[in-house]
Amino acid sequence: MDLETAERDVDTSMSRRSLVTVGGATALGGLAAALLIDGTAFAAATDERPNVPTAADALLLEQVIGLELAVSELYRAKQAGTDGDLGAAVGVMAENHQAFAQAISGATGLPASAANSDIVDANLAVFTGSDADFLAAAHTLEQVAAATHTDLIARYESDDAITLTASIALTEVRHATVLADLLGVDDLDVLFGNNESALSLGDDA
Amino acid sequence: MSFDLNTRTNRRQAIKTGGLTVTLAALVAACGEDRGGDDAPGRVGNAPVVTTPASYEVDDAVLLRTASSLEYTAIAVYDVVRDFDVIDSDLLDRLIAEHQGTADVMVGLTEAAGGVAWAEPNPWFMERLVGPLVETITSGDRSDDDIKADLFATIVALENIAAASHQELASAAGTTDARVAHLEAALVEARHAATLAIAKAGDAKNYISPAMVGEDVARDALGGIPFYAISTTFGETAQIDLIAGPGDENGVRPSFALQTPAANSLVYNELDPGS
Repeated sequence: MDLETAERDVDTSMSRRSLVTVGGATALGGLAAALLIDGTAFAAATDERPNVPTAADALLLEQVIGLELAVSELYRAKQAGTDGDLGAAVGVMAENHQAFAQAISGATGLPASAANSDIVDANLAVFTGSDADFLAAAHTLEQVAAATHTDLIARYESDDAITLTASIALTEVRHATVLADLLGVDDLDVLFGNNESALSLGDDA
Repeated sequence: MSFDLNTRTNRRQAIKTGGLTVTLAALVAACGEDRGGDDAPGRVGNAPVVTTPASYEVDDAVLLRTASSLEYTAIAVYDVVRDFDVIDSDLLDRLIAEHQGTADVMVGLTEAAGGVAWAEPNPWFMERLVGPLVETITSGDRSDDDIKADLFATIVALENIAAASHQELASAAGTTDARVAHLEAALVEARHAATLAIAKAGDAKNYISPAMVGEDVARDALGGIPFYAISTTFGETAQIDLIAGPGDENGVRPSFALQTPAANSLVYNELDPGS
């Protein structure tokens, strides 16, 4: 179905009131046009890309849901019995990772219900150990997650998968920065860099 | 007071009514000029005729030129910051080096995309934002501490908007190499922003915005909006409001809006360096 933009009926005999009304409408129209320009200014380079996740995207994103839920579950395990600045930070990070999984679920229609048990099992003991051990392990896991998203963004085919991944990864590196500061790190290579490798998601999918 | 609708119009009323009629006639005449045939919306007064801007193509080279221009803009701001001893020189040198590194990547990708490299600040941002902002911060009879605080807030805001810009550009890039490069730049700049937000707060440790746990965000000592390492669940690309500079006679300080690149700030292929 073709949708055509309605053309404005030009009235050449405007009253003062209609002039004011049209002026206001023109201002609003101009604003709307500016917003459309903002939205479409970048669109030229990505016209051929599908908007919603493809089947190939969904295979990868299903595993990302598992990763995000696993990280959230690990933070929840630490949150029990933790208070102060650390408790507040851990609680927000747990919520954020759960929100990441739910957002992917919303974009793909996949359930956000199953954490990656391998990641939980491999990290649960250290996450519930001393604060220092937790901070180091959580920093590493956030860095791994960010590296994984950076790897995956090159493989996605759809706008939604790419846009969502970028917005998730940005928050995860902020988590990593907070965790490093709580750990007392002042090495700029650690604060600004990432030496962790991406998880091999999708390779056996 | 009683009204008699049958009273005849006296001389004074006639003058009043006549004057009003003439005024309205003049207004209608002014509004009604060039009414025949022009299908544009009506215009009031003597404003100059609107010039329709040229429509330039937005391709990968334009996005990459815009990206490198943002990096050079950041470097230009850090050059100003250096004169005021706002942050540790090692940190400053590192931040400049990382922005230069990102700029170099974007320049290389621009050339790979068939475009002409852009290795200077963004003219729109420099003219409309950075120039007025720096002038406002450093003008008037202000203490060094106030100037430093404003410049510190400026670089935190700048890193945040740079990260947001690359986040948007990652979604807009047409090639995989550019997409990954934009995301990597966004991540580095988000780390910069978070580190600076924490450092700026000193002992307060601005890790998490109170808004994320349902609390109000209090203004800082100078009435500015504080920055936090983590202020939203997802990377945000919204406008950042920066309050900086001396207050007016009522104590109201200027506000500056930092926005991600849009149609008016893209570095189009038709724009020549140095122009």
